[in-house]
Amino acid sequence: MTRRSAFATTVILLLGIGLLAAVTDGFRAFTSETARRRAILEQPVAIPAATLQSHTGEELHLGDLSGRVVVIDFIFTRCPTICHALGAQFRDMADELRGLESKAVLLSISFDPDYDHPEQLMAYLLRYGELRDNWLAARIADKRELRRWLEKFGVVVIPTEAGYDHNAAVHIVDPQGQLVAILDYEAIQQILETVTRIASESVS
Amino acid sequence: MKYRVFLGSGLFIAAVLPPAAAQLEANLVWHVLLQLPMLALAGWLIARSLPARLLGAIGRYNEYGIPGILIVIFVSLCWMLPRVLDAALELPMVALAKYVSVPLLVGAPLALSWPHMHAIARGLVWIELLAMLLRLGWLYLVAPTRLCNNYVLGDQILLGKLLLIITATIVVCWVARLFAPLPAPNHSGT
Repeated sequence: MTRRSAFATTVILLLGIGLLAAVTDGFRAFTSETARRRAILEQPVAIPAATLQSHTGEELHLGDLSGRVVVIDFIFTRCPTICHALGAQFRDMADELRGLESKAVLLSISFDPDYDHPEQLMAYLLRYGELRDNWLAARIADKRELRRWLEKFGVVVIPTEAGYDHNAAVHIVDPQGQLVAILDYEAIQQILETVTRIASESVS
Repeated sequence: MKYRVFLGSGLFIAAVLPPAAAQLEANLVWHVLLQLPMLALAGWLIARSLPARLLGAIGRYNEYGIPGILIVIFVSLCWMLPRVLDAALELPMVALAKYVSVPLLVGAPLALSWPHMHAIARGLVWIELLAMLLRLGWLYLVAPTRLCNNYVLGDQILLGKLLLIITATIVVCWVARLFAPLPAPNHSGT
């Protein structure tokens, strides 16, 4: 091989490895979901104001929960699949966090406000036993506010014949209203540890 | 040959023209198995009709096709990442990068390198292609959640199946060739 081609090969190898490293955050993020989670950990995102309506029909703002860590998931009550798994996890987490009501609260938000009204949200919570003080469900009636929230939380919802396809995760918002972590809904221990850590940090 | 340039340009336009592109990108399967190959084929066809002097100049930097095939491998690896496919839908700059890089850095260098490559190098590329198709197909088929946030899970499973079918087809064709009679050895030119 001539020097010219050897030079070209070396340059291409270096550029190629650099390119792959750049588009994967240094070989750590191959999907946009992992990229989004890594970005949040490094740079928390302020959650904009929105008017929520809770399962009791009351108006609710994220600010009303201030001083508490808010654990959020996005659901629609007609969901036949993944929301069931999320719901069961939230039920278990609510039980684990009993006694910490003043420091942490769980909030399930419906992205399907056309169908999900307080009645449906209440039924959703009751599916997992009695109502709990530390688990609320809510809808965002204003479509613009809802879209902005989904965007900030990085939730992509695609309508399908059977309802919606959506990415499922657990979002942790600190008492200052900053989205600080996005975790797998299955990683219940990690979620609980993160919640208690943030709750204890914000007290001191 | 003129017809190659027309065909290549036609394919390119059909792949990137906004209404057509929107259709092709609406579905994960079309995006990966139709639009990306169309773009690569467009680059391949046009590169094969470049003037001989330019081909000669490129060839001096592309001995045995090794630098060229490396470009093909790196850039095509990029466009196989679910994250990059998502970004191409969300960010116009990434979409533009796709329209430019797939013909120019996948299709064209493949056309300019493949004919010069050693049989062993070609074999390696085939094996790596099969391994990559198998890995991706398996990944898309069994991943319980969406790898691309912009596409539904059902499309992802279909793409996984199709990738595995393509892999199997290539393997069957290869195996069939093992049983095909060899071309008669040529003793005339001593």
